[in-house]
Amino acid sequence: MRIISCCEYVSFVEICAVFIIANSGRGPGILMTQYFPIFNRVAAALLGGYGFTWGFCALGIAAFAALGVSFHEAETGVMLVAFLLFLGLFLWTFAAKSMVKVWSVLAGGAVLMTGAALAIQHLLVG
Amino acid sequence: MYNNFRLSMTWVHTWFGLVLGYVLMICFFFGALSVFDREIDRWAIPKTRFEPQPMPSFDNLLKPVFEKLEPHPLDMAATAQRVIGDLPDPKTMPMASLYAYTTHRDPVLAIGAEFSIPNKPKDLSDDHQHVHGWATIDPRTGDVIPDDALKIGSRWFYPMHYSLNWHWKNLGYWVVGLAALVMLAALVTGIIMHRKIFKEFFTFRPKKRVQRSALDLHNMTGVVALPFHFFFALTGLIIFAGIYLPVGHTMLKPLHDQHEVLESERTGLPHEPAGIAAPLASVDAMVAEAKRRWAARDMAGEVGYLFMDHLGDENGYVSIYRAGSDRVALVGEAIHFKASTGEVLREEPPRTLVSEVNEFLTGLHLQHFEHWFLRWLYVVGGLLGCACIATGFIFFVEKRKQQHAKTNSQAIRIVDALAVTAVTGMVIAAVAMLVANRLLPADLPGKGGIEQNVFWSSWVLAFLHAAWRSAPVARAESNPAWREQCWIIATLAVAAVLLNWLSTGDHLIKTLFTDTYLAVAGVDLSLLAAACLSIMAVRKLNQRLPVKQSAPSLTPHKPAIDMAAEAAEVKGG
Amino acid sequence: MANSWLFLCLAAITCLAGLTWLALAMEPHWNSVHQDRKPERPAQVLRTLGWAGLSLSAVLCFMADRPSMAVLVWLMLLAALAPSIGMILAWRPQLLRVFWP
Repeated sequence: MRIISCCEYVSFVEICAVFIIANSGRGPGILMTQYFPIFNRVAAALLGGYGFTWGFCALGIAAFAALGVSFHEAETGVMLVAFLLFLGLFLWTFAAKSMVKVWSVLAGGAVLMTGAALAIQHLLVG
Repeated sequence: MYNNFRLSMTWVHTWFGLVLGYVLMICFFFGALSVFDREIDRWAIPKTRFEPQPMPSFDNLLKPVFEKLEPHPLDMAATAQRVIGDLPDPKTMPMASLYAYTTHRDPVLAIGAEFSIPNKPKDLSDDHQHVHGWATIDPRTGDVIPDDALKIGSRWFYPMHYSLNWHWKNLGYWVVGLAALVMLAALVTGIIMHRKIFKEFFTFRPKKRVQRSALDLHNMTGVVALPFHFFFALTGLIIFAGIYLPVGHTMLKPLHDQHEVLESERTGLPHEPAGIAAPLASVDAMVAEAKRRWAARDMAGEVGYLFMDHLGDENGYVSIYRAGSDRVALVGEAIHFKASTGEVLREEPPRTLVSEVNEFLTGLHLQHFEHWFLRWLYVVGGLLGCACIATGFIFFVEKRKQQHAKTNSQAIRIVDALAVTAVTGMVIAAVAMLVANRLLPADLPGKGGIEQNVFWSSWVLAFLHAAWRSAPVARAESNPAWREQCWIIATLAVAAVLLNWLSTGDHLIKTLFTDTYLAVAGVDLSLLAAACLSIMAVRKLNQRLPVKQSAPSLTPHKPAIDMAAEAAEVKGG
Repeated sequence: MANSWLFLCLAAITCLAGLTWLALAMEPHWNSVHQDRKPERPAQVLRTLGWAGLSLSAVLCFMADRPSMAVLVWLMLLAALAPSIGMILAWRPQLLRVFWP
């Protein structure tokens, strides 16, 4: 029987601490309006970035497989660059000026590439 | 996020670094310990303190051992939840595949098997129709090492560094994966923030303010080991890419399965059993043939991994992989034999460029090679990572605590207490576990579980202690818990070495000189080094304690800095 | 085997020397090593020597191990030795006169 509650506890306190420090000396009323941009960026960086990376991997593997590369070879190759891509997207999200642009690239790219990958798979497997 | 690019990157560095830094401490510290996981195993399980053994004869020794191997009760329970109906009696389940695995550092041999079951899965997409069994054996005799003896190095510290030993829904892996991504982001943003990378390459000014000297160390440890930090975070992600981006197992599974069948046609290794019973030819003869073929390719070597699929079936095959002790890449150069006749089915061709790169990157992280010097350099690299993160915490606290003292805010105490927990508290947990290991009798049922509980509870105690003692931080002074926990580390580490002597008779004079056994000597010496470093850290901290009540807080004091650097280095134990 | 240990030792020493010369080529470090008596700093010579030392150490690493391993050993040597020099410069800078009396 493992004591997992430990980890949960630590991460909970961690989040509290970050929150308290960020807020010290400020009123609670402006919390949501003030922090929405940050939550938005973080969500875009993590979820949006993940979605885009997922789409990239799926499309990359499917496209290479369509070109006759072995599935595992394609998978390995794509994974070698996937995390560097995620890193780039992550940082870009925080550097970019417009969040509309960030979300449209990340979410749009994720949907388009995932769709394309599924279409290629449909053609190949039938 | 801000209009200024550099400010945005600083925000990412500070806040992501703070939140995930605690996880990164765990990854780097237990990663550094994992470099010598097998050696820590020897220390923790004294009856396995003998020389590393090559893969034993299958025909004479392993075959009867596998005949006795049964599904593991833990996996029986887990599988029972996944399938419809009751599982058959484990003694009657047929063995479908088996493996044996060893490295140049392993006296003991890890073996395992998959057993077929007739039950249908509850989830139709779950095509894993097996129960697993596993064991660790003494390859000289075939005796099974009891399961209660936890391999503290390879089964606790090692998985700690990539999964936090938190297996529920694989959440530990995901937290560590996020931390690794943040590590990469922190390195890139750190380079962007740092204006004097080359000018301050060697700069450490311990006599300046704590905030300044902490930043010096943070920059130095971050910059000099930048390739190490970057490639270990990146390759860690690549190793677990299958968990983080399971595209091939989920969305593209139809394509994957199609290629799997094509692949098996191409390689000649049957994907499915034929359903016709067949005997097993001499595996030792296959091993001899594999070694002959490796030698012919100018890479003579031992067997690292032995795998058999479709056991007892006409389509059964035996795969023999070379131990990759002499190169960065892992086990490889597999040669596959037809199980019933012993004829060679396939000799794997030289790797393609992509898999060559992949093997190098994962191999440099997993380090199965035989290179003791590089192993120790990796330990140093891991500890530099710890020092980098710990000084980051200290810089964060130092930068804010004067401000917080003025506004009478207590928030910074939490960060400081967590920093103590993540630095000295983590070392205490690890060493306390070793002490418990030597105090508890070897044949105690459930010994491994008790050791795990000691590990977690001493870590929680360290946190409570740090939180309880943290009041001075809110007055812009230093937390005495840093010093006190250093003393605890020193005491525990010396106790662990003494207890090892008392419980096994293996003292350092014996393990170093009269009856040399470097695995145990190395762990003992590292523990003593940890004790020395923590005492030095305490002395440094005491020297810099401000004289009580003199010139309140305008003269900045000089506390925690070396402590953190050294406590982070203390982790040799 | 014995040979490769010899090469690795030499690689570590040349790496240490190379890094020291590079540090000495920088004014603040040169000053802290020589404290009161401040001789002229042959910055260009030191820099050249420094890079030569690091290159030699890389060559020695490649002589000790196969190339894929040697790259790792050399990078890790740099990572381990550079902070050691930083620490010596901070606590006992005079020791570094060994490399440039």
